[in-house]
Amino acid sequence: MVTVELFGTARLCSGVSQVEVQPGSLQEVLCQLEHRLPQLRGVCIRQGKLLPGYMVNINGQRFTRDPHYRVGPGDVVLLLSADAGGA
Amino acid sequence: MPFGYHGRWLEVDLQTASAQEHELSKEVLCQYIGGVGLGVWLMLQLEAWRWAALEPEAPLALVFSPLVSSPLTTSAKFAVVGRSPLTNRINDSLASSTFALVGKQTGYDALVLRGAARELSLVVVEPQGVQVIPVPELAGCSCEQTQAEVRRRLGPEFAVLAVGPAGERGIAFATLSHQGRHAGRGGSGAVLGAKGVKALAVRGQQRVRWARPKVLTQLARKLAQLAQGPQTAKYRQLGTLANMAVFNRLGLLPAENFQKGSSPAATALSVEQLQPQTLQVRESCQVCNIGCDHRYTLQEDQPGVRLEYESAYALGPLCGISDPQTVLWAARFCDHWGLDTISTGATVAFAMECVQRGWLKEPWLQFGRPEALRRALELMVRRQGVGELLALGTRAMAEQLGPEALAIAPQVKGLELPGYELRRLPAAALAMAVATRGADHNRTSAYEVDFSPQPPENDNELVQRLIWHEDRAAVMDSLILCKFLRGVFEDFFASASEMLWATTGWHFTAGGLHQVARRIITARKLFNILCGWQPQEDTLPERFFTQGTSTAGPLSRQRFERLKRLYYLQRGWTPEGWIPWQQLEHLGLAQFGLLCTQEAETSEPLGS
Ligand code: SF4
Repeated sequence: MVTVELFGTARLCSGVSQVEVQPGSLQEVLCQLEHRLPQLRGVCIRQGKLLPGYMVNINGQRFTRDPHYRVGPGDVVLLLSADAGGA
Repeated sequence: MPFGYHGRWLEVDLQTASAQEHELSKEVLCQYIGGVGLGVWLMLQLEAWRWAALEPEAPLALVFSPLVSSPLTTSAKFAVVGRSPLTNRINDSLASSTFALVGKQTGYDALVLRGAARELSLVVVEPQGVQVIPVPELAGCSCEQTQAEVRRRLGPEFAVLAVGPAGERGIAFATLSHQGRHAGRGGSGAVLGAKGVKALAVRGQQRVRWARPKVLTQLARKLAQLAQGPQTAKYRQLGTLANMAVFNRLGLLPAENFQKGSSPAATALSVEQLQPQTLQVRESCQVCNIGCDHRYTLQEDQPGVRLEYESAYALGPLCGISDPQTVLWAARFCDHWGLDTISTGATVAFAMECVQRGWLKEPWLQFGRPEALRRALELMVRRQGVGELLALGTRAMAEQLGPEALAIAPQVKGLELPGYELRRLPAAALAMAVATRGADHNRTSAYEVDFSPQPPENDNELVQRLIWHEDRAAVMDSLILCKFLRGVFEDFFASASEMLWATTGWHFTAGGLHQVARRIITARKLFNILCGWQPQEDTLPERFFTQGTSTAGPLSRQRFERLKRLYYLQRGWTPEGWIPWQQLEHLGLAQFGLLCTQEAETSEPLGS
């Protein structure tokens, strides 16, 4: 399984902090998430694609927006605002 | 009068209560734009490096910019530029709102204060002239009380910039405050306090003309639309406090004086936890349609407190505090007294670790104790007991406690570190080490390189991208536009050129604006050199190279030094960070470098 952790607006609008989904490409992972939490549709994801202003981090290491990125079993995907940092 | 500007600045002598007007040439305005750029030019022109920050003669400049009073969103800002009592180097900080709009209507592009008033005074700048009015009865008044009282006396058409009691008492990280916003970093409040100024009130009606008003209106409409887009959603919906949970999860949240890279305190202080639990209001600076200012209150009868990530990090996890009530109290305390929240929290956290290590005999001052934070802040502002030491900031404190203390003091050049665990962020670490005003996340945003989905392929590229971020920040801070807009531009330099064309009528190419940025950054560096800068200042606290945390190993000193050298070379400086004469000449700065030569009686003080 893949764990998706939600932060900021994604967590506040869905009321959920974490979801388990099947491995696959990032787009497939986000499609499953969108299906489970339709409140996220149009807020941070649409048809499995990240909306501008959002990105993910994989396992606390790598940031990406690439829909083809392979998310494997045991990976943790953090769904974040793309504008990390700031005053 | 050039479009967008008044083409002059006012020098106010506080001792004689007199003022003198000076022209600003088109050449200078084109070379430095306004805001922090024009501010550093003024500091060089006035030879501000000759005086220590708190000496009466040290000038302090309040600088407007060509975009102020335009309809462009987030443009109602001004820069405060002088020498910092914390770093003894250049300091520039920004604040927003009515003071920028009314200040520019006085008919000047900058107001410079010099000398000192004989007693605590109010400085009034209005069309009839300048007055210095003794106000000893305002001693000890908070920032808000002072602004309200001055407007009650003078009239609501005045905009007021105030010093809190912290500035009056010379606390090295005191702020200047206006409408709840602070020119926060670097201690300009202490500089104004040392001049005996409690407040500066401005009034005026002189408007500038725009070169292309219709184009400006169109650009403003477009920018306002972009500012409502997804790139600013975080600021509108959550505010910067959104960083708390994310940084904690990524091991980037400094805790307990940078001994740890995450903290259990983060959960209770996260926006995800606070938003549903608290009563909130959202506010914005004048002429801004983003509105990032989220105010929290835990009880109905209490006023909302503005809580930024940086304030929450420094007054919370850095001191091991997780209680939101205490952190909100401390943030409010800093607003009221006029204290920079980052330096305040970092200084207390540093003292807590000194107690932990037995270097400071204040056993009550322990990490994680809300009452210890409250007591430390009270003692700090009263300069009583250990508060006398706390009022100095971390570097000066460490100098009294010994070299071991200096190794763990969370500062660069004397300015306390913002909330980034630099051992995991190589670009941000380098940017903070070389920044001219000290540990600084606002003059570069190089952390965006570390957070990028397209990481740099090699160190050369990392430095190149860092420099691009520095250049962008130098232009944004001179235009001035809010940094929270930075994500909305497809090509920032092209958009900035359009805005300058519409306001001033001057054509800047994107390359020309990079050159302006290079000049501003080199001018700041030159100012620091004239103040006595040495290459060993461009570093991080020693602990970052020798100790890791549970989330990060120590930084490789070898790589850090290599990156620093690459940075200097890409900036066109020598491998040790000095500025070659050729570059000073190329950027039109040689006249200021010459001063240094004459003082030092050497032919190449700045060159390789
Ligand atoms: S985004 Fe925030 S800081 Fe920037 S101008 Fe608007 S309210 Fe002020």
